[in-house]
Amino acid sequence: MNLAYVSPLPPLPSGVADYSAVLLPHLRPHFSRIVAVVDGYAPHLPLGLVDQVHDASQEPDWWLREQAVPLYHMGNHPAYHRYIYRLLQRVPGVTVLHDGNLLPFVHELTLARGERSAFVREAGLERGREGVRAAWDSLRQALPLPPDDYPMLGRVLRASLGVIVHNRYLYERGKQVYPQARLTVIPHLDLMPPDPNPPPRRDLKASLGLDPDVLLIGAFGFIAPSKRLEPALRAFSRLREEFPQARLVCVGQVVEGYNFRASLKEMGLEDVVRVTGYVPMETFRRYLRAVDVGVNLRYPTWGESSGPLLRLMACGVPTLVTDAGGFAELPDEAVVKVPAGPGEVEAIETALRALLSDPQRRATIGEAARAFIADECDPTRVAERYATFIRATVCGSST
Amino acid sequence: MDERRKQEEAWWEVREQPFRSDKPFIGPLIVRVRSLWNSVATKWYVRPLIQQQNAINRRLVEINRQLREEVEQLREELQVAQETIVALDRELTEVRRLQARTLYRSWEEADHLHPPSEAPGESLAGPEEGREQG
Repeated sequence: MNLAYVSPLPPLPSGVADYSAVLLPHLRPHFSRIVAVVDGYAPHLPLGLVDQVHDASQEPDWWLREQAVPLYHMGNHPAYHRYIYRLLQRVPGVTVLHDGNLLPFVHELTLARGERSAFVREAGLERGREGVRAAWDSLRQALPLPPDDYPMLGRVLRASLGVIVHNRYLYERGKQVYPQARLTVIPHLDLMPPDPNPPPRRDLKASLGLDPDVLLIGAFGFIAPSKRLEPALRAFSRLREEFPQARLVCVGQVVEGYNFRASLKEMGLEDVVRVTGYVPMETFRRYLRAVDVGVNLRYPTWGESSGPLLRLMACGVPTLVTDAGGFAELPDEAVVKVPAGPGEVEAIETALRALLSDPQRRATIGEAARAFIADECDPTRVAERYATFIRATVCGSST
Repeated sequence: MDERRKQEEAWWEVREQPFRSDKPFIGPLIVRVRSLWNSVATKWYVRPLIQQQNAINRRLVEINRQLREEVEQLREELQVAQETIVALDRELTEVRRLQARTLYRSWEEADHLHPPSEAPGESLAGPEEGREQG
């Protein structure tokens, strides 16, 4: 079987591109030919990893003559996933759904371009007549559709022969939208390259210009309000006297329009919190291996997976996660779950105190996290499951 | 029809306004003089203009009402059309799924019978769609 691999790929700065870069080499042995289908750029891939690269913006359908079954990776970035959303409507295939809420994506594709009718049709595809009416009402009243009722997954679920998701939460969400969808859960990937002899944390901290004796807490990826860093900062500020050697590092870019530095200033944390901005992957990985505790909160969440969380867990870092969405499904012994909403700051404070004061506890949770990733997210096994599902979907019963 | 509704519906009507004055003591005198002058000099000129303006306003209000009704009706029709398009879209999606599944299975069968290079090429997307996308 030939595979048309339709996904953002490196060098695009996208979590899905990073994911694909790790998955592709492991998928390679399962298919006779792999054609990478991109949109107007030359992907940076190791030689021989794919048999051909096809630019969908040039001639969209020649790759079908390759007799390749499409595997689409659908995320929520309008620039990177627009062509995928359009292709999967015309040429059904198997889709990996990376996000449980495509409403902002559909909004960007339709309303942001003045295409009101297209937006209404998408809502109709989601919920039939009720969706059409609700979309018109929302336009007339200039009120957004509620994402809980309109995750806009209908198009993807209906058009796909099969859909792969990374957690049970997203599976259930998909079934709610389109019960006939053929869905399967395949865990996310271990995205960290194997490192049998990682340098000691102290050395890594020193190499990053930090005092080797600091207790380092790290938050990774885009800095946005939904990452709940402000409650984390409040909790951290309460622990400053108790743990004067603790430092917090936010490794990633602050999203446009979010004045995160103002919060730091307001809480008087500028001297103990480092915000790196965008860093190259090598530096990103060094920070991941250097931190003693990870913070990977997210609320609201719609079942999207977090690459940074899996990387932290793979590095054996005990990490705080929000007890919601797909994160709630992680084993209790491998992460520290904190509730969203009332009591969030207190819960983060308690969890951080317990971890910062107890190296043994950190080690135990970190080891459980590492074992979970090694067991569940091994790329070879994940790729096998992909191949099995794709074959079963294409050749199996017409569910 | 209550008074408030009558007032709301007659917002377009231009009316002569009575003269008023807040001046103490001489206020009524001012009103009287203005009224007299009006009845002599301006009343017979202004009244036809008011009537003319009211006729225009009445017509505009009527046109506005008709347009509102038409817009509402068109909106309803558009919604029904959208619902039909959505239903057709769903059917088309299902047809494409079945078509794709059949095509992919035929590829698989051909793979087993012939080396991959001998299998006939085929496309799901027609040339029209191809150009559109490009």
